[in-house]
Amino acid sequence: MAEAMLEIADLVVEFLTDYGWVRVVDGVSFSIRPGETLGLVGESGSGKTVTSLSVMQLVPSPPGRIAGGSIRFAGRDLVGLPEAELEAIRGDDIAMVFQESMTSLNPAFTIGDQIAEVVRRHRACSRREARERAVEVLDLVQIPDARARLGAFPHEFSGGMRQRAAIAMALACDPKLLIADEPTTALDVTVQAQVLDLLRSLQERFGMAILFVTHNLGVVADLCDRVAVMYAGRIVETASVFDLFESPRHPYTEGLLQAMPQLGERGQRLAAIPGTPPMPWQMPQGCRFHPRCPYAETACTERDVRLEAVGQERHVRCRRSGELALAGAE
Amino acid sequence: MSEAAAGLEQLGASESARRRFLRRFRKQRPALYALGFLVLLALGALFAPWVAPYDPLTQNLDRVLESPSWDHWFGTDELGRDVASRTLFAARISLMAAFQAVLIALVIGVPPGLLAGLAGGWVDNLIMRFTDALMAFPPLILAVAIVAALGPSLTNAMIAVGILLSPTFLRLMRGTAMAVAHETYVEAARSIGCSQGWIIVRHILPNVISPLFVQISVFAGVAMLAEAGLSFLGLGAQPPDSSWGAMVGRGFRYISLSPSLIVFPGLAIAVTVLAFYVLGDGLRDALGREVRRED
Amino acid sequence: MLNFILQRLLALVPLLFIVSLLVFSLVLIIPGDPAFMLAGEDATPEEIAAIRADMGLDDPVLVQYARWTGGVLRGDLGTSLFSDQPVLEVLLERLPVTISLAAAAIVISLLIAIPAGVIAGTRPGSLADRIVTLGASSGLAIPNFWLGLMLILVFAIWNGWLPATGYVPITEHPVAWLRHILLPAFTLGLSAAAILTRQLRGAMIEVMNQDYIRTARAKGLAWRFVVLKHGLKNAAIPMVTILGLQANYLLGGTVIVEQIFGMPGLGQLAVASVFTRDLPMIQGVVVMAVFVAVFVNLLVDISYGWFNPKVRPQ
Repeated sequence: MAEAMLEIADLVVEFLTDYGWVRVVDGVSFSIRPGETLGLVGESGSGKTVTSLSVMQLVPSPPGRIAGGSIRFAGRDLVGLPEAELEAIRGDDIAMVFQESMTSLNPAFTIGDQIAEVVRRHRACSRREARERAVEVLDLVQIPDARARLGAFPHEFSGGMRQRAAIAMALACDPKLLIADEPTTALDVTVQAQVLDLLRSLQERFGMAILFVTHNLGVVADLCDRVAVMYAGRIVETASVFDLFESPRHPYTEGLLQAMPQLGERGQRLAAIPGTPPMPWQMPQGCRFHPRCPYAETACTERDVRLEAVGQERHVRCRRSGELALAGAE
Repeated sequence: MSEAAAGLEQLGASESARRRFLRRFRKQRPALYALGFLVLLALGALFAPWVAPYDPLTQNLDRVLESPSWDHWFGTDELGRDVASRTLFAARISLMAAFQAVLIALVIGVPPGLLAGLAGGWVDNLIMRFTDALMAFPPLILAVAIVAALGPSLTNAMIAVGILLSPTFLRLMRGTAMAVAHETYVEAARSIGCSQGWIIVRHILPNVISPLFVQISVFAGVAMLAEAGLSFLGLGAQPPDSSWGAMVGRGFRYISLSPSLIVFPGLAIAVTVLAFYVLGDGLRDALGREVRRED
Repeated sequence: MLNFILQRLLALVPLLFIVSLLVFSLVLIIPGDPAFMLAGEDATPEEIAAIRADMGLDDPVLVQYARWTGGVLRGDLGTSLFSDQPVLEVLLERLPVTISLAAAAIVISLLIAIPAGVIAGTRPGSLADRIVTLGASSGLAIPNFWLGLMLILVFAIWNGWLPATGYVPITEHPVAWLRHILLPAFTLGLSAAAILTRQLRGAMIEVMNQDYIRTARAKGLAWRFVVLKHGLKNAAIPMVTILGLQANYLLGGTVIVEQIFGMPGLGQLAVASVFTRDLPMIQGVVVMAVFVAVFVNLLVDISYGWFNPKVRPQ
């Protein structure tokens, strides 16, 4: 087994709200190996975006703070690292692509300027060389006539083009780890597929690791090697994509799989998980999923459940995972 | 729903809105202080003849241009008159002038604003063109020109200031009238034959009253500043009347001999204007986000 | 771009028409007989008659208006009743003083507002923010003539660091110009600085919460750089509009500031002309001031495109 490139252990992130400090991410641990793609899956509010921002050490503060745990990247703990050293890592070793391409590119500067900027920040190079690099990466993400598009402003691009440009910006310094936070969610379905294809081909070519944050299991199946499922600030299951889809071990994962539209099965109703995820200031006692869990017993409501190793590279946080036979995807 | 029932419902709604406003306004500490200060100032001005330590016009040529002392808190002017008493009496003129200017601005601005908003079309277009033209003038230069034509006097200066302030009221009324005129309930009211006047009283005024009050408070400050500026130039209050601005204007000549002549009336202007602004901000916050102050 | 400018110029025609109506009607609102009023109390009947003939006050109003507007269009703003000089000549002599005062005031207001607004807007709720906010409110409430006098008191009378009055053209002696312009420009610019600070603070708070700020941070750019490049340029967009409005106020403010600091500009001329009842001169000042204001706003409109590419004409 290769050495982990990113290793998150017992990460705790808290936010100051009207209810005091609440834990939005509560003891999250996972790791990513070089060249691996890990899907971090969960509903909105599960803490997956905050987790990904923690890796960049960009959790907005105030109101947020990292209250515990470690995030080791290439052997160094990013938590508590001086700002200057973090800045040297951001955009260079670790790069990020965000969900809203419309708002995550600066409307007041050209695409070329925004790409060249990150190159000049991390590489000793001239203005001209930075521009050349911008053309190169725009070519990489298959933006036609890249050189002519350097002077375009974000609003002159379509949504898909903007997201490609954002990916180009992230790739500009050959990152070892790319964090993609729902990069296709805001796009049309056909464009989504194109962007996913692009990400896959880029990864095959450059071999960077990807942390892919999404609420969409279908996308995970397409792209990822392993999956970590988050619920209410905690990881409830980790597994290889194949295992997870074949035989989920956590009722929540089963619910997500059931709620996933599947090709060729028209007419079958999608089973939505009943209820809504809990707010971080009113977490249920015991297993946090029990109020929505069809298999919950009295014992599930009483004691916290630990994340247990089950077999090779698999973890699950469910008392009954041994006895339940949960349905996988077809 | 019958008209009476609709009216009752509106009344009930505005009642609770009033209570909410009072509850929120009570939390606006700076605005409360500002209001308290303004009330005290108004009372002091009103009862100036009884409150002031000296007669503002009595001269004492043995004691001219004195610095502040126990006898004369703000010192004395070039004729030996008590500056503190004069400042208090001048508050009457300054407050009245601000009141006058805002009133004139309301009279000039509100009716055409309503007309523009309700009539729309070319009437609206014409009125707005005039408003735009009025706003293209550098304000104080226009005020000076109007005073030049009408002749220098406090009333004329306040007419000029009122004209300058009127476009904001006009736009406010127009915007509200336009928005309300297209609400379903107003169209319903019109369809059952309610008159234009009824619609204005029943539907537009309640909607515009809150932002109007915010604007009035802020503009009282603006008007006071404008009056002070014009009086300072000698284009406003004429002797023997004296506003704070006029006092500073006269004190200008003795600036190196007796700075207190200009320091105190100037401070009075600054503090009072600040009080009007803070009160306006507090009103706006208490009335909710929908009311915006136009700078 | 040229098309855009032409469009803007064309849109000004109706505006300027109404402005001309308003300026002309100043003659009409003179109470009583204008000639009598303008000539003054101790004028001889001959002087009154001369003014009447000079201004054509016996003609129908429409003829008077047509003659006046025709004159303005040809660059003829009439003759001063006080000095018999052509109005335009006097105005052009004084215009540079006012322009350089207003321009210096804008520069000073930006020098204050940009750092203050950025500091307050990037740390809302902090002590620095509260100080800036309070300062801005006070800056709006302080009468500019009073501030001017206080500055004269401290910097000219007590310390003697700067001259209290007068003006030296920048072309003649740049250092002397600066020394003379500093106090008046600060006096004139303070309220504009206060308004711009409030505006920039609000815009900055909003901008710093935008996704693209986070993106810029994720690129490894330093916070300070992100604020000054990515934040400030976007926050400046609404500020440009306010700056255009402020240009009007600044021109108006010169009336008072020039009077205090004894600067021979348009504002001082306007006030002096009230006392000499020189109505053609005042009309001229107003026309010139509107002209400058409209021109400045046109420049602001054009510069707006640089800050906000979305409105940039293609």
